[in-house]
Amino acid sequence: MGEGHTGSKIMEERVVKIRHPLGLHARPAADFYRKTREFRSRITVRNITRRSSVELPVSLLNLLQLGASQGHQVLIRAEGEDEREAVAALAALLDQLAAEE
Amino acid sequence: MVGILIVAHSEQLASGVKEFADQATHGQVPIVAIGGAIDGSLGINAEAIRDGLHRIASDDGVLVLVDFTSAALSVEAVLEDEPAMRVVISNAPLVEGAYLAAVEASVGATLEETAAAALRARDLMKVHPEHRQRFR
Repeated sequence: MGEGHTGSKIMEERVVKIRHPLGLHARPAADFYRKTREFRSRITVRNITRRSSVELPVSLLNLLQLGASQGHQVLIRAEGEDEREAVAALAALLDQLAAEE
Repeated sequence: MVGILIVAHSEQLASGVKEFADQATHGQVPIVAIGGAIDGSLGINAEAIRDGLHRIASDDGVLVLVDFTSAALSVEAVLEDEPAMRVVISNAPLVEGAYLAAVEASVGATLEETAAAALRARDLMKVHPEHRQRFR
């Protein structure tokens, strides 16, 4: 991986801390998955708090198996035409879901 | 949108699974829960299954999630009289399958895609690998 034209990344990524008391499970996981479906970019997730966790393409099943509990750090990566919007929207959704609790 | 019919031997079990799937999808998916025998005891009520199917039947189809084999057999028997209905009976585990199917249906999946999503529940690892010493 590298950079294409100067200043234009070919991938967007962000580490977010899971603040939802239930973690990224059941209902929050469903909301997260539904949000990913609004974008065309290829989106992956990895629970960097768990050493054994690997980067996985987003699916509801993979989200459930991330084992992302409250306080865990999750790396969200998106690659594609709307990668910036996707990562920003997903990070904002996690904040919103935590705030609703 | 694909509809989901939950058939269980207990009314409370069926309703509980529906409650969970409804919450995960914010009530956007047509889900009907049928549980228990006619007298309210544990069992299967074929007429209630037929009514339930008619309530959510559409051109997009219905995915049926069941708790045990006899529930699937009852649904099959009802469908013999309903040849025009587009229905798939899922072999997925009930709770996880209903949840995965409902979320998939809520994003506009086809009946085939919804059925495939439900079946993935069979591969769901509930115990994280880091806790494998306690995993059986």
